[in-house]
Amino acid sequence: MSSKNNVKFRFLFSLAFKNILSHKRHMVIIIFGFTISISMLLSVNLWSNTSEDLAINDFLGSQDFQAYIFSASQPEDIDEIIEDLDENVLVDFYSTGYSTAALFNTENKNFTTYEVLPESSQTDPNNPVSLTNAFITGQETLDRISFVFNVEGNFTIEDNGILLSFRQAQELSSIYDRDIQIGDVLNLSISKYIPNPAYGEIYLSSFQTTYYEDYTVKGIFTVNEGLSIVQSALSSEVLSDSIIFPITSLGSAEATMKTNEVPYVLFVKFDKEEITKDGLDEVVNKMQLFSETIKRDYPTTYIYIIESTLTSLINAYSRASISVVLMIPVILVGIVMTIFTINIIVEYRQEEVALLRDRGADTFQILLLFIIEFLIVAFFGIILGIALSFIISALIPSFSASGFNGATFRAFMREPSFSFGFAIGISFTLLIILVGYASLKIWWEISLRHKSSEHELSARRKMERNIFLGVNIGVVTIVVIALIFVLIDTIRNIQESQNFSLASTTSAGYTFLLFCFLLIFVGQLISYLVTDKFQVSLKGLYRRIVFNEAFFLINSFKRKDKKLNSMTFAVILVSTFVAFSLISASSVTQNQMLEADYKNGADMRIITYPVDSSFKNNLSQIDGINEVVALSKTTGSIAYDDYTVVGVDSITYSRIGKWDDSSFAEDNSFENLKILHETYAGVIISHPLAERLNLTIGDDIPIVNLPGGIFHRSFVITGIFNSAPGLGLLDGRNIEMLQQNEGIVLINEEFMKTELEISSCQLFLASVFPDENSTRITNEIKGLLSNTQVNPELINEQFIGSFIDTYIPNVRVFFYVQLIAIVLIIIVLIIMFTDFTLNQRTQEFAINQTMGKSTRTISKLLVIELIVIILSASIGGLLLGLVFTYASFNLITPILTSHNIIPYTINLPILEIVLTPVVLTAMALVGVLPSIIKYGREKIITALRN
Amino acid sequence: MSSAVLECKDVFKQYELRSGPLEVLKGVTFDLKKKELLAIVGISGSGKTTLLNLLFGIDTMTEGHIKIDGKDISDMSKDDFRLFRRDKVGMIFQEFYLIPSMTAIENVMAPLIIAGKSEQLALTKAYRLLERVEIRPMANKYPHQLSNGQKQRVAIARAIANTPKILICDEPTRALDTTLGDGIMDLLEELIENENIAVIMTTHDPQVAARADRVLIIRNGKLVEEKIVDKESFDFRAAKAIYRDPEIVKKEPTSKPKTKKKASTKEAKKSSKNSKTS
Repeated sequence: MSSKNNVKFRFLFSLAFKNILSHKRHMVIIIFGFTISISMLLSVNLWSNTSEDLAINDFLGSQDFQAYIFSASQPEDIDEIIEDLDENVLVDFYSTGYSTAALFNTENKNFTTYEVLPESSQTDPNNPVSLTNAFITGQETLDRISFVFNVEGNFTIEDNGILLSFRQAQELSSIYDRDIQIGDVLNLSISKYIPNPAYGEIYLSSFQTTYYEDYTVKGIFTVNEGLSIVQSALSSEVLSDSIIFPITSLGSAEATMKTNEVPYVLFVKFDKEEITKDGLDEVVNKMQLFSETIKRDYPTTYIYIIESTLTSLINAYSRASISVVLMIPVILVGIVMTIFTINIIVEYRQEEVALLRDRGADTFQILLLFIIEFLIVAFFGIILGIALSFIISALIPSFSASGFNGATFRAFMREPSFSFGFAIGISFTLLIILVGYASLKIWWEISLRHKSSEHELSARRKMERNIFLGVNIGVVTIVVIALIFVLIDTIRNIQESQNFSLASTTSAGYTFLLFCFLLIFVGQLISYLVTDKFQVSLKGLYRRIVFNEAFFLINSFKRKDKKLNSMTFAVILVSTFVAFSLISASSVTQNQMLEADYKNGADMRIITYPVDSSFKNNLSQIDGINEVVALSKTTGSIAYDDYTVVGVDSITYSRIGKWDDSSFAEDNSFENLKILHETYAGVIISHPLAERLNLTIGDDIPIVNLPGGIFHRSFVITGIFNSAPGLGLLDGRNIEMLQQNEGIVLINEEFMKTELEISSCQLFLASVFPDENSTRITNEIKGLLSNTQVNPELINEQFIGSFIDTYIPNVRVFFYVQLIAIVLIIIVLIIMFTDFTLNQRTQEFAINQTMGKSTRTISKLLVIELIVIILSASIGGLLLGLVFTYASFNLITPILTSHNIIPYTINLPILEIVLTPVVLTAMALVGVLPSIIKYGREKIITALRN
Repeated sequence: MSSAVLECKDVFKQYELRSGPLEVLKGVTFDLKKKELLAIVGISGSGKTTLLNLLFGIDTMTEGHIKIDGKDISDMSKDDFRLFRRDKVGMIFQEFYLIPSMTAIENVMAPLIIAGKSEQLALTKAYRLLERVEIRPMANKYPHQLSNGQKQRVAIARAIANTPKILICDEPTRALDTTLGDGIMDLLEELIENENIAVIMTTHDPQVAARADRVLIIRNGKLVEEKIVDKESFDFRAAKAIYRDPEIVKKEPTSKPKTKKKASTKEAKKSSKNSKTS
């Protein structure tokens, strides 16, 4: 019995293979449909997994350190911790450093304590002591953090070398009355930094300063703000006005420093292999465990790990992975194509089925044969789809603004993070859906054909229509209900949020998914209206074009069988998604351009070494530049959080800046910038901060830890803004990390200069007269001062943003990929469907020829029929696409962008939309013409017998 | 003597098969006169349908000449022949070949529209034609809703829509029972009489053949016998015998001029009954 079954299956398999080869064309299209659907879904998943892995590995590899531990009250704990670290496999490298103070020009000034006052208030103002920050560490540490600094000279402290910050070099030049240059030999004292805000003065007490002679200036540096643990520990502000001194030179002074509680910092770098070996999800957990262990064992220490940065990096990629929903249109169209092809195959093989039945095959046997065929074909489609997904997933991130990046492509191909579970799940689901549909369709057709009487056939067809209608109504109801629930959640998540979280992006993804499903059913309704009402109603138009022959055209549109306009639904669906993709891509482009302008801040964004703000006058002299504003930065604390405080001439800023309506919170406008200008101790703060602290315009807000010896000062709020051009998000600081986009604190420029004594700045914004040559102006600016950047492309690339951007392509890429894929699919579908329908109608064409109709007329009518179908369907689809885009756009904004600084608006590419039906029609005609010509050449007698 | 509306001379038709050439028609020569009903009889595979297809121009002959209304169709261009087919010749197929997506009236309108008539005019004429073939009530039915006899009538109405000179009928009564078949033959005879058309048909049915003016017997691609039919003294059994084995019986043409009268179904039945009893 068993061998009999084996023979049966062997026979069925061999028959299935023969059938597949006999219907190669249709089977290839099914494979194509499977391949497209599987590859699109898998490629986005593969890309997001791989990119997350690569980004995290890159990030972990590029960081100087990932944690710092600091103890002021018990620095000896650090030494104990170091012993523990030696045995901890998680730790790759560690180093130590001191953050303290250095004094220059202390010769012949004996003291045990020293009161450091402004130069004019010092005992000898003509020969003042210069106090600066000192970072004392080893060369190995410096080598790891070199990316934080721009150095003139060598970045080394070996052989009695020191490094000076640019600011300190300038101060020393003033004190010594000579230019401090590379190679100069200086003497200095290492001391301890103690702020005493109560007196507005800085004291050094109970500390024996140690004098060091003959240290050579090896390099002069400025600080790039970036994602560095050392910077986190010491702050950019401190490093910008500091020296770097070799720890090996401390000698016995080190013991003194420890006993006098000079801040002693331990920097830790984790072993990348060890920390990632259990999966990237465990990286943060391991870091947290490390942190908790240190806190538990050494309660007086403070430990900071880069955990939140990493979490946000992971979140950013998780957010980006939601972009897979943007591929849903392609997948849906792919599935529609496969279903169409299955319908055609079943229709094509009706005779074969009838023959099998006549020969005694039962329904199960016939079904089994077809199922085996579909399974074989689907298997090939799945394998091809998986293979293709590797290539597509590598291509997605490889295309950047500057073109194709081969290194990225190779990185993705080398180390893909393939999720077997996901791949199998998706493939299986698709298989079940399509093979299930095919089985149902075949079973239905078998049982339908079994009914011989016309009445029974008609009754069966009516039942078919009712079932179809019932299923449609049922599914639409479920989808609409689900959509309502998701919409409520989505709207709540994205309303008034400036940075979109993973939660808001996920709910936006579900919204889009449900919209797409709803679209299928709405598309069917539109298809019905277009085929049964619109196309048939154009009798007047047909008569104008083809005169009498309109009779045949109208008949073609009215017919119930063998009609070309059965593909109207597919064309509508595709046109809808084409419209959506075109509009989305155009809107994304426009928004990114606006945001780039906003990020830049003004026509020209100029970043220099720290210079006096009066440098703006030099810039104003350049021919073509209209106005310039200087933006000075410092830091201050509000409610225990540090903020960047920007001093600016707000009136000029209001004129120069690329302001947007969205910049201003409710009841705020340019007027508030004017008020800031008139209010000496006024500030403009960000809306989230105002909300958090329940503040409004006119309220007082204390800012502490300001420079210039100001520990605490109260300011009056003169404005509340959402964002400001050239600031906040824009210097890279707020991209996903470090600081939420709440960081706007604008301060009166006069206050900044007078009270905080800050007149140097590194950022200038300039407006340019219209039609000026920006290249010439840029060159002139660069000629004024070396190492000046004008409109830099990447702003502060060392921030987490660069790791996020590296492998996440511009969202436009998804739309263009989608556009190409679905246009390809629909052209294949139109060609296949037209060929099939023509094949079905060859006899009819032959009958017409026997009545004297020419093949030219027959072809002409076919072409007009196709044009009418594709044009009407694509116009219907475009209109539906417009509605779909407008309805879904604001709800899917979190998928399209990570933040809402410049509100997302729709930009209609009118020309492209108008051309779409024309292009689609033209492409389809080019594709089907060979079929029309082929069937036109067939002999009448052969066609009649078809 | 009536002039020939159709002349067929030394027509050969050969198919090239993998196994070698297959000659279906071997030098067929005959003519068709005005207002004549010519029947071609032969067994399956003798070449009857092939011959009709050549006459209608939907197949091409290997050799020979066919003249319709004095014009050699082998000299005609594709377009000329198409027009010729549209205006001069009508064909009724064995399988009817009605366009399934068109109603009866639309099927009849189709050739009129093709001939350049306006839709309104075509509609009016189509109704008249359907009335002529006694099937007007079924005007708005689709072919799948019609019986074989009704389909055949629609096919006839369509074939004569443009008042052709020649009507080619391939087994016009094949799918019909005797009564229906007689009805169709009555119709054909009436059309010959009133519309001045000549009809050439193929048939298996000796009773149908007996209604023709002449019978040509085709065998293995050759016309082997031509018989003028004497309807009054028609011998059914003899006719059957001729049909089956034309080598056996040969008869001289009768001296009586052939008469064409509209034989009613009843009379035809009666005469055949008489011939049986005699």
